[in-house]
Order: sequence, then structure tokens, then C-alpha cells
Amino acid sequence: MRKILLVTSFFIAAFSCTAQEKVMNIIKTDGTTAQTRVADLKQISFLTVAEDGKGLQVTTSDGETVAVLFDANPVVTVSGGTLTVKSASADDIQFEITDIVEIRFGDVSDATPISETEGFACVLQEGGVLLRGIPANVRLEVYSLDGRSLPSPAVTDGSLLLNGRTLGTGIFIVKAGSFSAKVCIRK
Amino acid sequence: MKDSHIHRPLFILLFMSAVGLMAQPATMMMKLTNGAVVRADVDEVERITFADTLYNLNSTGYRILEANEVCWPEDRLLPLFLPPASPVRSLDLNAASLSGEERVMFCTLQGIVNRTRPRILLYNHNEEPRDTWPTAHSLRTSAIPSSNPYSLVKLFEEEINGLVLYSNERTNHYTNLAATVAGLDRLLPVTEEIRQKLVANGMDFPVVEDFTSLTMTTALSVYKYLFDNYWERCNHRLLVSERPTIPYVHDIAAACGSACVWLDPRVAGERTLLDKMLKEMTPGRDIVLGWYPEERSGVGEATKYGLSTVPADFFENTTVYTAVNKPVVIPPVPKRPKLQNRVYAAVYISDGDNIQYCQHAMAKIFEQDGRGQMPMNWTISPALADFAPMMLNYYYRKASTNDCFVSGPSGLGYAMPYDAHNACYYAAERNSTLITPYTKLTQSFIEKAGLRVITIWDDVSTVQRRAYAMNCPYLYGLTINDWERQEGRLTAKVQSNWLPIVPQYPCYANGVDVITTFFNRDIKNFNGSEPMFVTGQATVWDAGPDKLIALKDRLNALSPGNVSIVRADHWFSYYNEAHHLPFNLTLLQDMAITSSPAKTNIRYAADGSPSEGYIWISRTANDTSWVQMDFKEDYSISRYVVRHAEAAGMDAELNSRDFTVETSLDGETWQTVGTHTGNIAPVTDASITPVQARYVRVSVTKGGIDGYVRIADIEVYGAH
Repeated sequence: MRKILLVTSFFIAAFSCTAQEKVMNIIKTDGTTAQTRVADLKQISFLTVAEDGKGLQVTTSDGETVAVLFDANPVVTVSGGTLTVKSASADDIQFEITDIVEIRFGDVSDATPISETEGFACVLQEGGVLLRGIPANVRLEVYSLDGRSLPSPAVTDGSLLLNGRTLGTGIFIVKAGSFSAKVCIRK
Repeated sequence: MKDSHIHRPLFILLFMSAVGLMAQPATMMMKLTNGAVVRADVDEVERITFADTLYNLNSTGYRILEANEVCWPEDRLLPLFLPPASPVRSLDLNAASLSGEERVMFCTLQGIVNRTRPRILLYNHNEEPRDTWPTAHSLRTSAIPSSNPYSLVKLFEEEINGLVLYSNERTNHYTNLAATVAGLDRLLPVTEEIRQKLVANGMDFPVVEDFTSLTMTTALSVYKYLFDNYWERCNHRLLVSERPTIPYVHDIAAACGSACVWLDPRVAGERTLLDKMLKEMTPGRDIVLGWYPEERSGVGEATKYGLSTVPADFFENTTVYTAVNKPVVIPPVPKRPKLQNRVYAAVYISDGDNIQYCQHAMAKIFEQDGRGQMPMNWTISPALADFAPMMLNYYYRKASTNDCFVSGPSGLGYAMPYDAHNACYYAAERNSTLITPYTKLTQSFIEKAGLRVITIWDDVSTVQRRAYAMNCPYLYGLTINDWERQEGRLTAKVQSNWLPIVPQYPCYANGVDVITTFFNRDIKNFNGSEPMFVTGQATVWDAGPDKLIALKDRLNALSPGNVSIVRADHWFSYYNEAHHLPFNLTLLQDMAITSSPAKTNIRYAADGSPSEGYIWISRTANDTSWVQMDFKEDYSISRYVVRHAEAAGMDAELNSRDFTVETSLDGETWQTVGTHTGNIAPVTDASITPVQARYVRVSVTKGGIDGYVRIADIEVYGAH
């Protein structure tokens, strides 16, 4: 999709001098909107001291929600039509900008899944990943990278904290229904 | 979601380090490619969404920006533009022998083109060598032949929508009207004669607006037409007040879609119209740029609305120089000797509030013989921190330790709280609400520019003094003007027990003789029993460094061996010490400083410079780091200031998070006077219950995000 847009832009530039691009709208609680061209955005970072449960939450058009706590020092960058959320010592989480419905801030420990049957919320936080909103009828499975099935930690009230204590260290694949997450836990 | 489709794995890594918890609002730091850093409290953000927008591309792939699309953070006087292209195309308008109307067109073209990215540099009015500022801004230029100036228009014709045609036969204010509309709609303001020249050069632009049939004949009617038809579309952040025949600031006016007017507040109707514009601007954020038909009425009128004026009628290439957006590099401040029972004299050089003076005449006067041989205090505009930070850096680089820069009147831009000549306060009934945002704005810019003293024009009321003391903690002192328009002399005052406000006596003196005579009215009474303080201001046009240098001998002759001419920051430091008021102890020559192992010079921790290159950095990461100062005597310490990495222009994430400040009388037993956890601010400025101490220690237990501790500068305020 992005490649198509770039090619289109080239021909548009040569002949009509109009094209299309993304803008980011920051909608404030006072009703005002600040608009920034995505092309002008270098990064967004957050200065905070571990507000318990506070973070950013990205909601995509396919019904998924990913939340990252501020205490994981998330840094958001935009490049080539992709929005990347990087946090300390973690792999990137990437989104096609066209897929993003909205980004919100607040208490993401209460993040609820968009779809209770198809997904759940992953809250990246310092000390582990918190999976919330796991439907009661969904079976949770944990696999090692070589495909071995591992004992699954208990789900409590639809929530599961994955960290070194509950899972040990290493890279794991966690599946719940049709959703899966690859999780790397370090010491 | 890329790479995490519902049937594909989501990649998440965990990390396990512990962190303390503390409730504190998160701050979102949005960094833009043009260097802007926009802070927002996430509690104020409801949500972020993305949308598509249509835009125009030029043939080299840049998005052509409209006037209402520029990036203009709230804390900036001017929009942020992309860094200048390399090379920028330059044209010498003088060599090209262009008329006034042609220059307006070229300057407007410059603004329209440069808001997308600075690519045009125009040489207009030069007192300094022509390459002074392009070189200071590291610009690579490619000259357009002055024999063919219209080839510059041809280069950028694709970014121009057409023409706004005007005639100055009825009044030349049509030039400002046409230039205003041109900036809004990417048009070139042209007379019929210029249009024909464009056609002759192969550019037959359509006439989008034709003002030649308008019949207004006065400034008031022309600008009323502008107000009625275009004011709503103009930005209300920067009003350009510019004589129509002067083309230079049409550059920035066109770039950001400002209204260009030339209204005389002495004329009732014109004042009413000007007031309509001024009252829609925001005090503490917005400014008037340019000048007025008459100084006091013009500056005073803007002051009524809490707005200051940045005098700039001949300031060139704003869109280029503001785009070289780098931090001001403030050099270390020289330490001062002990206070003695001597005469301390300070001499100020006038007119630095005017940025066109800073760009042109000052560059020449700064080269005069005499500079550097005696302490002189140069007024300069803190607005340069946005307009042309590299211009401030140029002067700081060239300055000797005898050159001290202070703010021109009366802070960020020229405001006139009190007009001594007409004996009136402007907006006296709303002083507290108008002067507060102005002084807050002033604080942020004097801090960026490293200016510790403000020269007020002419005086300030109690409410105004309080506003400076409340909102400008960066200050060491204020000067006011004693024009001798009252019985007796103005007296010095101290606001809020720390801010000295002293009269310049003489003010705006036209020579060394006048200064010597005025100073001698005090010096003749000096008996050596206590320090004496004299201060005065010279008009730069009559008494530059080449003449002021004679003061050394002239003042010494008044009281041989007893007169010290000093920098303004030292003068106020001595003044406060002599009057048992708190002063910055880190200015003392006797201060000894020690620290934990550091990568940089230990003295950088308290050298008066917060700038990168002069900051203290711990040698190792994740260890407790400390800096200790010994002031060699006991003082009553009442305040400390710690500047962090962000104050040096570095990332906010590098600011020290957790630190304590302790005091001691003997260097053995310590008392904690400040504990700071989870700091995210660039500057920690804390007033404390006064405590007797000789030593002060700053210990950082948690540094920046990379573990290193950076201390940009420490100030400790104490009194005897």
C-alpha cells in the first residue's frame, strides 16, 4: 500500500503537484486539535516516573489493543508509513499507520480487549507482560521456540502476568484462541 | 497492526529491572524533524488519530507549505522551518539595483519559498561585511547573477500561484496590503511595471487579486480594508508593523501569513484599528515586529495589550536565520574578586533591543578598538534566541571576558511599562494581568539567551516590579532610566528582598564627558568607608567602545585607585552583597569545587554556563555522583538552582531524576535542605528556609536515562 502511494506521488508531482499524506491529530481534552504532519514527526517519548498502570494504548482497525506502560519508557517513531513503539530492552511493536484507529493515554491496566472472542490486551510493563481480558472459554497455551508445549501459568480473572517468575527466562509463544504472542523474557 | 495480525505473533520483549513508583503526570515529548520539541501533559490529550490530507509537491519533492500550515509551537516567537537547503540561492538586491517595490516582491517570494524550506538569501542593507551572517550560520550559497535577478523568481515559479496587482499612486500603503494577501495565497505583490518585467522574463502569472481599482487614499482606509477582508485569515501571533517602503521583514510576514500594517497610534482612527488587531493577540506569546511612526506612542500602544515590539525594520533573512535552530552557547562567566570598599561602575551600551541593530551596526561596532580592554555591557535582544540563535553565538564567540551581554528594553521585546517623557503608565489598570505574561515570556528568553540584567525603558511601578521579581528568577538585576524629569534623583529599589532595580544615571548619554560628569556627582563623595555603586548608559551611536575606553582614565582621575569598572553581572553581585541581599555565590573567585569522578572539567558544574560543552558529566553510569562547593565563608543560603541536561539543549530524558542538596558549616556534618525525586524539569529552582553554611553539596542518586549524571550548572544564593 505504501509503495503504491509513493509511486503515485511521483507521477502526481511531475504533472499535477498535488498528493496525499498522513497527518497526526492530537485531540485535546479542551476540544482543540493540534495537527502535525507525519513526515515532520521524529519521535514521541514520555517523561514520567512509573505511574502505576498509566501508559499508552494503541487500538487498530482489526480490533486489537496493545498497551505499553510509561514505566517501560516507550518511544514512538514514524517512518515509511509504519508507527513503531519501542520500549527499553524490548523489541519493536509495529503498526501500519493506516491500521491505527487511535492512540490513547491513561490507566491501561484496565485495558479491555476490543473483541472478547478474538483477542486480548497485551500490556507491556516493566517486570513483565500483562495479558488482560482473556475470555474464560479460551484455552491458553505456551510453547517454547522449538515447539514444545510448556505448563501454562494460571489465568486469574482473565488476566495473566508473564515474567521471569511465572515463565522463566527465554523466548516463548503464547497462544489464546486464534491470537498468539511471541514473548522474550530476560533476567 | 503490522507484523501482529490476528493470526500472526505479536513480538514483545520484557525486561526486569526494578523502578520506584511515584505519582506524577507523564509528559509527552514530541520531537519534530525541524528541531522542535513540543511538550504536552498526557492528561490533556484525549486521543491521537491519523488522517489523510492533500498537499502540494514541488518538483524536487518538497511539500509546498501554505501560510496556515507552518509548524509554530506555542513557546516560539516564530514558526519552525526546516534547516536551510545547501546551497541557498543568494541575490544581492543592491547590486541588482532593484526598486523598493521590486524588493518587496523579492522579500515576499523569499518568505513564501522559505517556509517550505529556506532556499533564498537576499542581501539588502549591509553595514557588516556581506558574508558575516551567512558564514556565521554555516550557509553554502549559490549566487544568482545580479544582472538577471528575475531568474531567481523563475527558479521558484512553481511555488507561486499568481499575482496580486497593486498601485501606489493613491497611497503607498497598498504595498503592505498586497504583501499581506500575497503571503496568505502564495502570490507575488507586483505593480504593473513589475508584472511586465516578469512577463519579459517568461513568467506570465495570472493576476489573482487586482487592487488597482481600489480608491482608498489613506492608511486608515487601506488597513481597514485589510482588516475587514483578510485579518481573519492572518495569523494573530505576529503582527508586522512596517513602513511600506521598507521591504526587509516582508520575508517573515509572508512566510507565516502575518498582516503588514503601518498605523500611527497618535491618530485616533488609526489607533482604534490597531487596537482591534492587538487585542486579538495573546500576551506572553505574541509580538509585534517592526517599528512605528513614532516610538513611544507605538511601543506604548502594544504595551497596553501586554505585547512587546521587536524592533526589526531592517532585519534581513529572518526565515533563513531562524531556521538554523541551534541552542545558544553561553560561555562560562568569569568569577569576581571579593567585595571591597571601592567605587563599582558599570556602563551599558544602548539599542540592543533592536535586532536590525544587532544584525548590522552592532556587528561593525563590535569590531571597534577599545572593546575587550574595559568591561562594557552590551544590550542585545533575547528575541535573537528564536530569530537567529547563531547571531547570539557569533557575539558570544567573539566576546572577551570584558564583554557582558544584557537584555535591551524591557525584556523579550521592547515594552514600555512607564513612559517618563509623557509621565504615564501604559495599561496601568491592567498591569498585573498584562505584565505577568510578558515577564514570564521574558524569563524564558533571557534564560535561553544567558542575559542576567534587563534595561527597562523607562521605569516600572510596584506591580510591575513585583511581576519581574515573581516571574524572572534568572535575573540578577534591572536598570531603569533616570531622565531627571522629576524632583531629585530616582532611587534604587529592591523588590521581594532580592531583585535590585537601579537607575541609569545618566541614561542614553551621548559621550564620555556626560558619563564622567554624572558619575562624579556620586564619586566626589566617596570616602572609602563602604562600597559605592554608579551606573550609566551610553548611546551606541555616539559612544561606542572606541570612545568609552577613555572612561578608564577619566573615572580613575576622579578618585585615583578607587574605581573599578565591572561587568553588569558582577556589578549586581557586588551590589547585593554590599546590601546584604542574596547573590549567586558561585560567581566568587574564591569558591573551591570538588566532585566525584567526572568526564569533564569539574568547574563546569558551576561556571555560569549551562551549555553543552560546559557541563559536568559523571565518569561512570549508575553511580551516585556529587559536586561540592566551598565558599570559604559562612553565608545565609536561601536558594539553589540546578540546571540539568535539557537546559544545555540535550534530550530531556538525560535530566537528573533523583538528587539531594545538602549544606554544611564544616564540610563534615551535613544538613539536607532539598530532596528531589522523579525530576523531569530542565531546571530545579528552589527557595529554602535560610540556613547558615559554608559548603553546599549536590548528590545525584539517579541520573539520566543512560545512567550518567549531567549537571549543566549550579547556582547557590546566599547573603552575609
